[in-house]
Amino acid sequence: MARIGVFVCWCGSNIAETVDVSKVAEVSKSIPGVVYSVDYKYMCSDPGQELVKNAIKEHNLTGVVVASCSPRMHEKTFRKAASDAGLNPYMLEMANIREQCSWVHNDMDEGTQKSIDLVRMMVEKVKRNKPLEDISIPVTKKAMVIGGGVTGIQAALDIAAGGIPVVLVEKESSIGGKMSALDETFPTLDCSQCILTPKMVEVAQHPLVEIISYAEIEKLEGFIGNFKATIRKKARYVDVDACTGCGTCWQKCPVKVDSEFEQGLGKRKAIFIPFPQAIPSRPRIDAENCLKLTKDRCGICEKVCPTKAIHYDDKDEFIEVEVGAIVVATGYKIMPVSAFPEYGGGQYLDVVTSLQFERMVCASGPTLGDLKRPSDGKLPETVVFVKCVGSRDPEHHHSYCSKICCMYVAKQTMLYRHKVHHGNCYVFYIDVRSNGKNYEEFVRRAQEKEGAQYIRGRVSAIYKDGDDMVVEGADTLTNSQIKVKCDLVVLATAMEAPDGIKELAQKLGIGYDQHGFLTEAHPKLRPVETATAGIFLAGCALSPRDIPDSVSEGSGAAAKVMGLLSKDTLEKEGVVAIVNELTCVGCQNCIRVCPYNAIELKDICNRQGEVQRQVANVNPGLCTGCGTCTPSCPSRSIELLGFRDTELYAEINALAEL
Amino acid sequence: MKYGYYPGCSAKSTAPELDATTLALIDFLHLDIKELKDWVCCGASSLHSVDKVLHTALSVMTLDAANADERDIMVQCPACLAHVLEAKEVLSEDSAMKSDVLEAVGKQVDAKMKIHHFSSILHDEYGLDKIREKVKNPLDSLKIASYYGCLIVRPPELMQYDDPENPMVMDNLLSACGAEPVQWPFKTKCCGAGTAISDTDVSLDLTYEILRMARNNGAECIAVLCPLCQNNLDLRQKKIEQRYGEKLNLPVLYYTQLLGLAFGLDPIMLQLNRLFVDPFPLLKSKGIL
Amino acid sequence: MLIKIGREVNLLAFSKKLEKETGTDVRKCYQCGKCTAGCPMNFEMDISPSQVIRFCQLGMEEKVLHARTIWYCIFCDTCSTRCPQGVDIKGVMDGLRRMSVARNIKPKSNVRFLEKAFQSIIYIFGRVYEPGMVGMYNLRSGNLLHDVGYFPLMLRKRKISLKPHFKRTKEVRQIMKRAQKIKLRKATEQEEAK
Repeated sequence: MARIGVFVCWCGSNIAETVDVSKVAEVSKSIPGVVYSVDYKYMCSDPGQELVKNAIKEHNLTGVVVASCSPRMHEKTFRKAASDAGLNPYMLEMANIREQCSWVHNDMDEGTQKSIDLVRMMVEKVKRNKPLEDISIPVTKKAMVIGGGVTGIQAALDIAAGGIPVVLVEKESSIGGKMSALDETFPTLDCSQCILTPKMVEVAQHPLVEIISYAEIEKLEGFIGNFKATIRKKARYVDVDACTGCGTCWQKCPVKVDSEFEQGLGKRKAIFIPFPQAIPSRPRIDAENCLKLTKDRCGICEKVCPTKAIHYDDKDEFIEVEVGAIVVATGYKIMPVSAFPEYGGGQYLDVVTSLQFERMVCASGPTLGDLKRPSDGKLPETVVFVKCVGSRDPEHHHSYCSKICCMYVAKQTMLYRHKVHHGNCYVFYIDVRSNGKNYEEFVRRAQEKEGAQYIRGRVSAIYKDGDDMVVEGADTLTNSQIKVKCDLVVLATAMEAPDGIKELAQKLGIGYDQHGFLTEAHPKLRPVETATAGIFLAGCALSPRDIPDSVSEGSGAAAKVMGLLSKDTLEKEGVVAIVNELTCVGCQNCIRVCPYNAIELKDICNRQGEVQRQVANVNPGLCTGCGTCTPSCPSRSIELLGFRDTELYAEINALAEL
Repeated sequence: MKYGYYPGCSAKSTAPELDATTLALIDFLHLDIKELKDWVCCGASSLHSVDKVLHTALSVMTLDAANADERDIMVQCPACLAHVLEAKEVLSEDSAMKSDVLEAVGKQVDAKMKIHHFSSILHDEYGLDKIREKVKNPLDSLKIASYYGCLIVRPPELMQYDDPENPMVMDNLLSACGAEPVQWPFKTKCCGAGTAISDTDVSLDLTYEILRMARNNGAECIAVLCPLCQNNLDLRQKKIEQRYGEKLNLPVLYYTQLLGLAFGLDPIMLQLNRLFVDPFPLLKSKGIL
Repeated sequence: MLIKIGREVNLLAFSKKLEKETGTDVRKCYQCGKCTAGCPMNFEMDISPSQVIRFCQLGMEEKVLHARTIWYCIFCDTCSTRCPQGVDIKGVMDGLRRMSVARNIKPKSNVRFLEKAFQSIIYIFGRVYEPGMVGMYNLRSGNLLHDVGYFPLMLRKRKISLKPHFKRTKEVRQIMKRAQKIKLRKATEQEEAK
């Protein structure tokens, strides 16, 4: 015998303004099966929840309907209250008389009638509900971090500090990311490598962290707590265990090509490590430029290697890793000069990007910190910095602001002036966005004390006139056109999502926006999570941001991972699909439509073990309760617990008052 | 390809070389292009600021002429090209402007024809390979600065003529003839022809910058496609030399004249003698003449 | 300069009017100055192109319609092509010229004389007739000997002919008359709408 309790909420005046709440509670008393019906001002408050609990105990309720806001708000709250009072939480349903009634109607009479109907529907449903149990799924206590820049390194260190082993997968042959290429960082002007390398060493030596470098994610299967990743370790042609990093091979290699790390301003060999502090400090061979691999000539490195670590027959290797949680920290790339035809489109060597300038001033850079302009090696006595190149330009490039350029240009003017005391530097800007801690003071220092001359106006064109670079800009504050003759132009080009990010996001099953930046679950309240449970985001993979924010997010994502993996099992809602094996004919429609690959075929055998037929079988761990399978079944053999046919038909019939 | 040639007013008066060489090339390459019988002045930029409806209506008359001759439109003057393209766009969608324009014209006009610049037709439709085959007198080692001017490339969505910052159509055509186009940054910088009459001094400044940059990047002559630019750069070069005290001596030829030279056509027919800055010494020294 | 913004003032009204006239929304401009930076005629202007847009945003119609700037734009389109927000500054200059002419404000450069001469010549001949046009321009601008030195030069090279050409003159005149009617009709419609 059903004993249903109905609780109708005023929600202050939110519901009560358009619905006669007391009347709804009164009318509900006459619904067959309802033994208790009451209205209250704020059901979600502590006293409101107590009301539910007491009523369940005192009136031996077998089911509860709370008529209030959307279940997305408080279903968890009320179900917990029911559970505390000893009632199976799935015997509690909510009738949404706020978002679906009082908020969208104006007429009191109509609103009240609709609420009465909605309550009646849910009462009829609850009468047919079955108690459900939550599902426990085991959790693999291991995490994977994709991306070995400062963000990924921080996340890996924090997860490992919590006692959880981490696999750190990095696309390049060394970890370190963009930060390893910088000279100094704002606002402290710390030497970038000096503050990064201790973290790099720490993560490399940490017993719980395994670094898989020069590798990419090939495939990802599974679900929260139980992922299986297939990682492609790209062919390095060097045995990292046998190699000692002595460097003989790259000293002897005869091939010189443009170094990606030096942003094309310096050279590297065909067998190389990207920079001296690389971790792991094991070289790799660039298969497109190696003479042995392309033309079967040379082969010097193999001959001189003291530990016989070089193998020209190396192939890509696939390894499988099982993890419980993933952090994506894939970073960014910046636009090249070739994207800007009005600035020369890359034909002028003396128009460089900001990253190229970092390498030019860096003491470990291609000119060892001796500032020389690329075309003729002359010391640049006048340098022009151009901000907002490709950013804030919806007509031609990107609409967004790249956030860090205002700060790093101020920094770069100081780096320049520290090296060239008599040099002139001009900065063409539209705004100065310096909104972090000590950031405004940093920019003021550049302008007031360090000699950077800021001119407010965007640059229209850059070209070469004889020996000089000419920058055509404007000063909107005096309404003038400004033409500057200079030696070097540094463009603060826009930050973009890295190559291949869309393919990676699709492999992981996470979302991305039109720019390629990965999408978080909620921009304000869930900034490091994705809509896919168990996968977290941090750093510039989300959108342009600076090092403090990226490192914070690395730690934030790590905290989420630790929270997830701190338990041995994960509790999952019992709302999953089940198959009636008696009526199922094994047509596989449901298998085809399931977006989560949660349904498989199961053999039904006779006593001798011979397979008689096959039926569908749902893996409750993978099933998310989306319900896509239920309408696909021609024999109505699959149902969603919590939304079974009898329950839903009861609701519909109640509305029609049948 | 079947085009109707829309020469524009300049081709028939201040730029007869362009007209003559265009017709000569059409004849030599056996292209099916005939002058439109009933073309009308496009109104240049002057009428645009007076009355937009009148301006567009005049161009619509030229579109009508093309319909009457059942031909697509080939244009040599960038201003005329811009205006017939604008007129075509106005006619493509119903709007208050369209009904005003058709009311002024006095009849319904359809605008479905293709409209292209002659250099685009040569580059894209006729093809560089065929041009190379026709070269009898290669313009060997002639260093040319291709000057496009502002109208042919902008606005980019309307004109759809190559990259607005670094176009290569003329450069490619001239390379195919054996010349050496120089890389220089002022390919599309405005020469100020629009103010040549009302504010001559200003246009002299702008023209000087272009000539100077061309010479500083190693150019021996300049190839142009706009009659107004040609007039500005050629006619006023002597005055510029006097004003700035610099010897420039840069002959300014139409690209059609250069193509004609490469194809071995008669230099008198190419009307090289009508240029103000004498090209003959340069061409003779290069062995082209 | 003191700009008083009273309660009844609607700064956006002029932007909306301009959008109707030119098809471009000046509110998109964030004053980056790229148009000013690339403008070849900026040195002849009293207010720079980006400043013109700013005054339009503030509804300061009088300031822009009386400025030299709109008469010195040569419509090279460098500004509109490079504008990061897609504002058609060239179109705004064009529209402001038309508005200024409609209000009979005296233009600040001789280019208006050229435009008028052009219009008259087209009316007479249906096509440009350079000697007539330049002659008329010289008369109206008061600079009788302007470019006269080039005249014999161009005659010799037969780049100008003294004989004018006529081209569909009757039809062109008809169109000009009809267009004038439409212009008057639109002007009265605007007056009535106020």
